[in-house]
Amino acid sequence: MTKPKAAAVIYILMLFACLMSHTARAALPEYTLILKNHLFYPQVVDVPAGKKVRLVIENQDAEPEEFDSFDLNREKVLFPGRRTVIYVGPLEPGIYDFFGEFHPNQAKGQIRAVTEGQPDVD
Amino acid sequence: MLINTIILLLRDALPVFWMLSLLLAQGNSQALSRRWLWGGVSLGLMLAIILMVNVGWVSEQFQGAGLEWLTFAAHALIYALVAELVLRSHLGRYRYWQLSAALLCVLTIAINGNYFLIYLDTYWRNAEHMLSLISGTLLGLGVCISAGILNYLFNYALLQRGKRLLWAGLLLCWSAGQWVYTFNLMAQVNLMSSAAPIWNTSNWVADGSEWGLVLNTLVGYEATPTGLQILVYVLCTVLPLAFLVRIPAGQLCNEVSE
Repeated sequence: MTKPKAAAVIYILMLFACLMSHTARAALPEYTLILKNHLFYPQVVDVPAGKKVRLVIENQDAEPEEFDSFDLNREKVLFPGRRTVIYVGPLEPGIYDFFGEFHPNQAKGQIRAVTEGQPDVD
Repeated sequence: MLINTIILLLRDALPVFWMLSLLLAQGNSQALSRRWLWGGVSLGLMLAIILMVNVGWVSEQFQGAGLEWLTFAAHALIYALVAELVLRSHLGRYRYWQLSAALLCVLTIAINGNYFLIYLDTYWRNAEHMLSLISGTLLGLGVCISAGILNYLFNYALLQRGKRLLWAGLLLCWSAGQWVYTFNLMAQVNLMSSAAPIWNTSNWVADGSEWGLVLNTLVGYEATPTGLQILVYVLCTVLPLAFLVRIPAGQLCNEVSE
């Protein structure tokens, strides 16, 4: 194998080694959000800080929507009449905004990451 | 509706115009044929429409992670094609340049176009929003075309003066940034760990701001990157550039021919 080819192989292996991160598959706390008439219900979801959670979003509208959150780095198309799962966290205590990309003025909500025993993060 | 259409079009179309302008600058500076452009754009648009029609099915695959897997794999392939194209250009080998450039067009347009087409399709049937939709699309396209022309002229001038490194750097930063961004998609379906960010520059340039969107397209800016994203981004940009700096243009060609 020539030097450049060997370097390329090592380089690709290094990249894949970086990507081989293990993800926890244990049962996670689950929270449900419903999208109806371009509004999220509930509009504020309290989740435990420092823990990964499963967010199940049910789009009850007849149109697709895109769940988007710059704070959470999440972006997922919600198809009409379907349940979609997004994994969030572990989060630092605080408030994280999310919105529907196709109806940003209507479909808005927040995830509040709270420490046990200290529910008020404001 | 008008502003939202412009923002979504910028998010999805600006990366396409950025990449096209970089490839066109190089193709024209080497007087290469533009067959890749027409073929790549038309095939890419067709694939984007096919993907948009079947996006529900694609999304359901791999336990609901089909779209994330597709986007991640497409951007990994785009990065690999860019790295190959940059390296081959540095060595003066243009034999498969047309094919690589056409594939880059097809993949980038199909993946980015698909997301915008879902949005257009949602509102297209609603006559109330038609005017805003058309105006927003035209305004957004105007911004993308203007940015593309400026980038083309800048890079064409650079390449004419033999300054390939900056052009290569821009292309590598664009493709690495787009790929690293898809790590968030993998984390949201629990296929990659979502570690805490290494730093947070949201107070300076927020991801959702106009500057944040533009910088994300140009260099893969992210206000809250994880350690894995930073590491992969650095590996994907600095190492190929260091390789280009270390080996003078055409040297490997000569070694192989000897």
